[in-house]
Amino acid sequence: MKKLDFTSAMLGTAFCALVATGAVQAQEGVVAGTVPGDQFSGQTMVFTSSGGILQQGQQEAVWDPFTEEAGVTVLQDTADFNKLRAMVENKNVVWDLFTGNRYLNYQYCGELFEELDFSKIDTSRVPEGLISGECMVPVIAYSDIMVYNASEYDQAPNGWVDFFDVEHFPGKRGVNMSTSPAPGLIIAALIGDGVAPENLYPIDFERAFDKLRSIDSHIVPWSSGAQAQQQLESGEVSMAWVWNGRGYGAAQSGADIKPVWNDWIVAVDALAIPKGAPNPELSYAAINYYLGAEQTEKLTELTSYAPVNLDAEPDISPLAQEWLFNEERLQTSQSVDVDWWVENWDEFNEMWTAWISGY
Amino acid sequence: MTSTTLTQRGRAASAARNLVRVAKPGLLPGLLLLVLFFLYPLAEMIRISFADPQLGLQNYSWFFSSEVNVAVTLRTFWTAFAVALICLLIAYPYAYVMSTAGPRLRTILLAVVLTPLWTSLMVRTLAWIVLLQDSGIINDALEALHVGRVPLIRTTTGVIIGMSQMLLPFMVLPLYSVMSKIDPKYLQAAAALGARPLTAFFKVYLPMTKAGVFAGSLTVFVLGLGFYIIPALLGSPRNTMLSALIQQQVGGLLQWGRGSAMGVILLVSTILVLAICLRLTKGVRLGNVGGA
Repeated sequence: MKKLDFTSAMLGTAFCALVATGAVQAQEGVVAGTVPGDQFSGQTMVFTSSGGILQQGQQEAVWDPFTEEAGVTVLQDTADFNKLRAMVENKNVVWDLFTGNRYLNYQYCGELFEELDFSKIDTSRVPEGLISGECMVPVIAYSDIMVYNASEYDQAPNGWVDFFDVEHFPGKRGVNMSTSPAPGLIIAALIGDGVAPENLYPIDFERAFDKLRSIDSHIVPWSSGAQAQQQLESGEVSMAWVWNGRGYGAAQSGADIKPVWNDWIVAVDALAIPKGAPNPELSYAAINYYLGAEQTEKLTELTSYAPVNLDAEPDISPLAQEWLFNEERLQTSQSVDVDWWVENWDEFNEMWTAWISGY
Repeated sequence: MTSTTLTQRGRAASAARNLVRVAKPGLLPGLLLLVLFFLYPLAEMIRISFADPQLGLQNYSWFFSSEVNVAVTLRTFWTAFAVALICLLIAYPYAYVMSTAGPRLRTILLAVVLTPLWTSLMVRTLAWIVLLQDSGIINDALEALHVGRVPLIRTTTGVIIGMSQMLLPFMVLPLYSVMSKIDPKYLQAAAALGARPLTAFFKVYLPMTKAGVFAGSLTVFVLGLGFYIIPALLGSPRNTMLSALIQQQVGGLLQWGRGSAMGVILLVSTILVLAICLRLTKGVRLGNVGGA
């Protein structure tokens, strides 16, 4: 018994050493934001994203310079999980990179997405907790955050407990009640009900939804980010659970909206290589380029999403600074246990749908 | 029976056969299109509902085991029914005025009904948001009239207003088509025989418009069942209709099997409702609706 333990310990150490050398080699080999010579020159690839400001920003901050440096033509398309599933099932994948929800990415890792070889990508400067599973790197990072209208309160609310305390902090609450379930809202409800962050898992869904139902008559539901922002701007709600970009948008247009950086929840969208992508080496090179400090810096300046590289120093206004997470604010954040959520997604989705539909 | 009538009949029959022979190839492109782009996807949806992720009834048992699914289905039918009823109440007098008006007024009334049909659904829905919101024109007017503000946006009322406006043409047109063919002499005859206007309306006029009422109501009802954008934008999550849940399963969860099963259930229950309606309206010739 003793001997066996010793052997496995030895093996473990050896393995760790190997991994460590591998990591160092990877960092020596590839550096985020650089192009490996002109080996891909003249080739074409298709990048998919969610359209709008984000995709425009990505084009300008990442793909235009990529085209210039690597000689690769980058075509744009809109990401759609159902199209991807059809492509993979029909073995006719035309997309080289896919941007999407990290839970579906995790769930379909290996099935719809290639398991990534992380020696081909430099993730050393990606903030901790932003990578979940084997099939993604973060494409953008943002925050599920509590915001409040500062002109409504003499004493500022300071966290989720205050969010659910409608007696001391009266006023309507804007809450995400779209058909896409949001784990961040459940975490907020549990912390608001006094659950210590270290005791969040396993998530007590009953308790979380009871907490949300307890302030039912104070909730103004929103089902899109634009709606959430509009509620804040018009003064319809005094507090809200929103994505930071929407709070920033409201503040930018003159509303006296402030963020609360206590127990905010880290949100990430995934960048992945579709299973059976036509040219995986090019996909890897493109991902590695995407994660560069300069690229993410520019992307942040254009879109107000937080950079996914710690070395990025975007040149943004003081107001925008107020709304972006940084290394210091990450200390007071809650990250999501993606594995647990994916495991329990079916139950979560049922209860979420029941809650938003009023049952 | 003389031989001449027989030959005539024979000629008529062979002319009909000739017509079919000529028309058949003409039908082919249309049929092909229908099979390729309608029947095949429909069959595929039914197959997926039984075969994804595994062969079996799992998607259907999932659907009926969830209280929310069943409740939302009932709500969907209820909403479509309410919209059909409101459309009928608005469209009936409207179509009546159209059928009795002079040519110029009729053209104007027709244009008023049709113009929204030529405007994008998205634009119209966004316009409704502006009108219905708490600080919108309607609420401002109500306040000015000392009625006070009423919640309209994110309520069932809002959804029904939006859907009714969208579907009104589908009620007005069949009603108008039936009413325009009714000879005003019938009502004059009823009056001459001593019927009071209301009696004449209920005993003479209304029965003659039955076909239009049923055709319009069924069209509006069936179209209403599939609404997605209006409940999402004008209603609250509490107004979710089945199409939104289908979108959630397919778009949000990649659960094609469940989404397909929901589609099949909506289709089958719609056919059931239609069958019941047709049974109840036995004798009403829907063929009378439309045409000159």
